Amino acid sequence: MMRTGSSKALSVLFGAVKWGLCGVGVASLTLAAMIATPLVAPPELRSISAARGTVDMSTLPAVERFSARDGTVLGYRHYAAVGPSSGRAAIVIHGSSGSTANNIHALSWALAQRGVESYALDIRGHGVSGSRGDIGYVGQLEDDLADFVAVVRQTTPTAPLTLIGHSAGGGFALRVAGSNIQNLFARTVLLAPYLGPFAPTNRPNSGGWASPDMPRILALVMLRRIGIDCCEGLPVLAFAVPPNSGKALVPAYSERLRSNFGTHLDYRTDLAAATKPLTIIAGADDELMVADKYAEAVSAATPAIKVKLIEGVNHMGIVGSPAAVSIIADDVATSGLNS
Amino acid sequence: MVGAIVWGSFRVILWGFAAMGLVTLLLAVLIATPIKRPPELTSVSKTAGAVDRSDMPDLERFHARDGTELAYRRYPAGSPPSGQIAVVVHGSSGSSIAVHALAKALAARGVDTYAPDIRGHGASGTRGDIAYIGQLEDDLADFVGEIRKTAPVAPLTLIGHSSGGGFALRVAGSPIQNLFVRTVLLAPYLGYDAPSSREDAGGWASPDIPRFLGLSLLHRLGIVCCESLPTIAFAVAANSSAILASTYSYRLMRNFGSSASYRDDLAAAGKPVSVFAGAADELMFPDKYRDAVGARAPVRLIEGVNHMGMISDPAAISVIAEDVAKAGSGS
Repeated sequence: MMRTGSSKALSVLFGAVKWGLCGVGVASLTLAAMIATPLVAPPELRSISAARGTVDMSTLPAVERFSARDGTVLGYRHYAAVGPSSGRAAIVIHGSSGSTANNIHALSWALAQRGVESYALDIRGHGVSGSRGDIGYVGQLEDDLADFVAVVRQTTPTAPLTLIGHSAGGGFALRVAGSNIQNLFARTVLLAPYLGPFAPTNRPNSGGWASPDMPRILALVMLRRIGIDCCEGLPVLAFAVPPNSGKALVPAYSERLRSNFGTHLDYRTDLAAATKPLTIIAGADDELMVADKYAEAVSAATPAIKVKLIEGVNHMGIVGSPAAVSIIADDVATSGLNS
Repeated sequence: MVGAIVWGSFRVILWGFAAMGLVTLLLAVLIATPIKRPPELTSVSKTAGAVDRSDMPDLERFHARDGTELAYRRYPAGSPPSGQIAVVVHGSSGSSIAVHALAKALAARGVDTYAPDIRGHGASGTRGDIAYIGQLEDDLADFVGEIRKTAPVAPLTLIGHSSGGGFALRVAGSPIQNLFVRTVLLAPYLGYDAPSSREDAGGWASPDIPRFLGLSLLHRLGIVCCESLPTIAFAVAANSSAILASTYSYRLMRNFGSSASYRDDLAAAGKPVSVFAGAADELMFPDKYRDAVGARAPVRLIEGVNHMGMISDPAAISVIAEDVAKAGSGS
């Protein structure tokens, strides 16, 4: 009796192990197939490319550099305030694929002309910071930003600091506004922010600008949920950049850069965690975002978020057109810092 | 009958999945093995720290083909010029800072000298990682393109120290070998199975062998998904991250050194290769270099010099500078 009992138990155990291994095998094959799905680059988006060359780059300040906590050298540009000082400082974050040397220079410049001590950062993975299109881990961009604020504070020790982000950089600025480094900033201004795939302001594939490798992203997100971050250096998001633009633009993001450079999966978690004043400014003619849905997207937030639309301005115009940048510079120089 | 066939093939598929699951779990265990950091190797940090760097030239920069900015230092030739130019590649974890004394000596001997920060080190790219195996050769070719803007025809010698020596040998046997007229290896690391290699490089490097094997198996299958994971840690001092890379990803570890067998690189090299090493090297077995490279490359040992001394000791760097300036006629 004992022998049959134990051999029966053994056979049940063996069966369980076999089925367990089968389960792991099926799961790993499914994940492998999802991850193996290739990333496809979208065709150039003309409205974005057309904006290039419309901004005077002759006033672009030289790149300065600092070492982040991991030793990697990151680049930034300092726009010293001119004219009557506003007593304020600002950090400007560019959008996806770009850098401080794109159209956003017009905004950084306008801020300085309005008396705001301005610093524009090449986010790691862009421009002259780090290797193109990748970072080390999700959360490194917040670490970099904190290190950058420490550098800014060496020359601008006390002026209230406004964080300004455009497009994906606006999503990232919102992420920071809700993060545990939010108190480094007095206020956050989001310019035509990308609020993630589930926001009402989102157009499919960001109006043709970004092409995600959805099966790969889903598989990598599932793996991260169970603590496996082995494969997050794989590219998952391609941008509609023109050919031969590699010197100025980043053609694709790794999963960890995509995941870090923007809001959390649901931007409302960032909104809920933010305690300092937030403002959204967007062009009414934005071709990548549904601009008139911004008010609806943030209507539930407390404290209430100011939303301002600027007529006749599109997605790149919000950081490049003279009308838009002067409105934004005025706002940053004068808006209340208390919510 | 049909039922038996269906049941039979169902069982085969089932066992196939089970085998797949087993392989996945084994790979996962290998790859999950954590990396260990070795204690500081003071002979390396002390020798490196003793160099006077007050006259080090500033970093200059160029764009590699992927748009990333890479940094280098230029040491213009002193007079009389030798007509030679040289690229000096630093060793593992370091940067152009490490080879300052040698680069200066080369310039003083009339050799126009360029010391790049290899991507993943110093001011080039993100610390401790690159994007793919082979990117370092692409970067080097782009760097030579940059040098050729100002020095279009002078003969170019590639010099590499330690892991940089292993990488220089890799380049000497690669499709871009003809960018250089000659390659000089200084205390080169020739791989874990070379007779000249001490175990774990004398305490300098601690590889994560299970993870390395797991990733190598995947690489063989064409799966490069996980190659940004760190697979080797170096015995750097605490708080040295501003100048040193403390770990390498799998793809950087594989790329920054010789090929899997340094003998393949030697066999594929069409131009002259020379080896110099310090007789007191504490990371390598210097007296085994002759066995390692055979008749393919002359080997010269310098008495009383250790591993880092090859790029900083006055006697060693003057011998090397003399040899490079005379384009190997001395060896």
